[in-house]
Amino acid sequence: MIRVRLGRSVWIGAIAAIVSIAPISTAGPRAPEAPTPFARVYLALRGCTSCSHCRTTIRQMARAGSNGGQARVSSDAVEVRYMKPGLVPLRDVIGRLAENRLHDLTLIDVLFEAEGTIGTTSAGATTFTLKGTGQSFPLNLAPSLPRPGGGTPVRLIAAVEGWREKGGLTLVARQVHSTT
Amino acid sequence: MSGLKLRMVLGVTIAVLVAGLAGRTTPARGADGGESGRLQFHGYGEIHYNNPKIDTMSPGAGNELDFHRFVLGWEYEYSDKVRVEGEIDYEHAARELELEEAYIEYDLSPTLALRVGSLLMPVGPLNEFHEPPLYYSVERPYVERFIIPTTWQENGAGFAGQAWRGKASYRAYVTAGLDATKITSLGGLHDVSSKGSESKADDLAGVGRVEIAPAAGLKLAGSAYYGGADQRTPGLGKVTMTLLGADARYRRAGFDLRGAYARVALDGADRVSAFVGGTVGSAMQGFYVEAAYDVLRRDRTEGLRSLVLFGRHEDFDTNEEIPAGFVRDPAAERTVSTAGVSYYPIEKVSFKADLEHWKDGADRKLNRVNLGAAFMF
Repeated sequence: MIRVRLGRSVWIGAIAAIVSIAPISTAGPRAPEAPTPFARVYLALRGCTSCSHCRTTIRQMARAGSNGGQARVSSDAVEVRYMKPGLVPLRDVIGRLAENRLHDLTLIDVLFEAEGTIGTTSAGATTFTLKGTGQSFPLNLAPSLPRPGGGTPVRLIAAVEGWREKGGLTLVARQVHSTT
Repeated sequence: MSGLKLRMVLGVTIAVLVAGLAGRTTPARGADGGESGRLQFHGYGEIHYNNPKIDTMSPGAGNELDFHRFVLGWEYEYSDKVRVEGEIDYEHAARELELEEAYIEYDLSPTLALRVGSLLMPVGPLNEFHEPPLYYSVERPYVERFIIPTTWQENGAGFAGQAWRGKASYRAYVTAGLDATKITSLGGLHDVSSKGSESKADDLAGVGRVEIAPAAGLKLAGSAYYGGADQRTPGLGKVTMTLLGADARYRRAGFDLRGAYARVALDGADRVSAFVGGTVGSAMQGFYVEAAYDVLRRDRTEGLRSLVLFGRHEDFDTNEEIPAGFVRDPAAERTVSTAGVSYYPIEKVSFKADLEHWKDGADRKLNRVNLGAAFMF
């Protein structure tokens, strides 16, 4: 009897789910896919991220220092995304979470993804400059990765280092994609 | 719960889960240019073995193995600033169905949100953050059962925000008031919450909590509640209730020290006592202190495992003060000393064992062994 009832429940649930997603899959045009953000900061977290109160706390921490970024919290990360070119206060975004004392939360790692150009300073150091802002970061670029010069626009995915200490941040390139 | 109701609950739950998975794969563009329609799930649960079962001072009351809580929650984001939160608690293996919380949250600024719905009351350290791996004992501290009625939710509206560069946070709500006729001599406030179900709203209440973190590892907090509690019950007259609480936590070098204090003052307790036909305290209060140490030092090794040894002492009295002309129940004054261990193979799963020693003002004593397993995701 229990099996029969459970079976019915599963069918009720499955039918309701199909009905609820039917407009997406069969009727009318699909909703437009979200555009790729200009920049994203991925902050990998460890700690209490489960309940709604935790996520609100984390979301508010991330957004407070983000200069208009959108914050999305998942079970093990918060992603701050910038849809349009603008200054990215990377140190502040990271610092709010890294230095938080109110919540049971540890910042593990930070990835940064953005559109910009790779250049070289007069002293010979490699830099990454965000598109349309002039904001630049020191860049550690392995020889195995492409190094498009001459202002070629690229999309960079890099680990952020130096946030555990005071001082400047350095980007360590993981992937470089030409956007032309 | 009837079979039909259970089937409906199961059906709706499965529908939400399946639709949620489908929704995850089809993000649409929101009005603010970002993705919208994101659905995320969370939950927690715990199973307990109590020898003897709780809510007794009799060693021969029998033992109990209970799947105490299984909670499913979700968050649906309409946009970057508007979302709905909900949790359903299938308590005692779904024998009791409870809407743990359900509210709309609208971000008024990056650090301030408006909440409207069934809200967890911001009182005490545990009521809002009550996932079982977050505390080391099998059972929640009893002060947060009889003095602060965790899990306590009411229908209302208010604000949740942060200040001081994230070193301070606050919540302030206006909610439906309590019904004082549900207060009992020994149970205190345990069963006073309306749970958001057709809440009596002839009396309203204001509640707030402020948490600050002035130094690394240290968190201090205060909570306050004030509201009418007679709900215009005929023959009862005016009753108001005030609850004040303070709590602190300090974590450093593997140590975790925490304590909480709460005091309830019931103005009109004489009339409530006469109405219910028993003594209801005009003041109820309790405190606990707890010390814990992580032998595996997860904080230092950056590993996932923890082995926490802990001890806690609680002292509470639901007849701390009684109205004139009524008789104090000595059993209302209780102390509970708890010692135990909690092992975390990963930070969101814990296996617990502890021993409680109870003593009440009637000079009754009881030892209880608790075993438990808990998770959250």
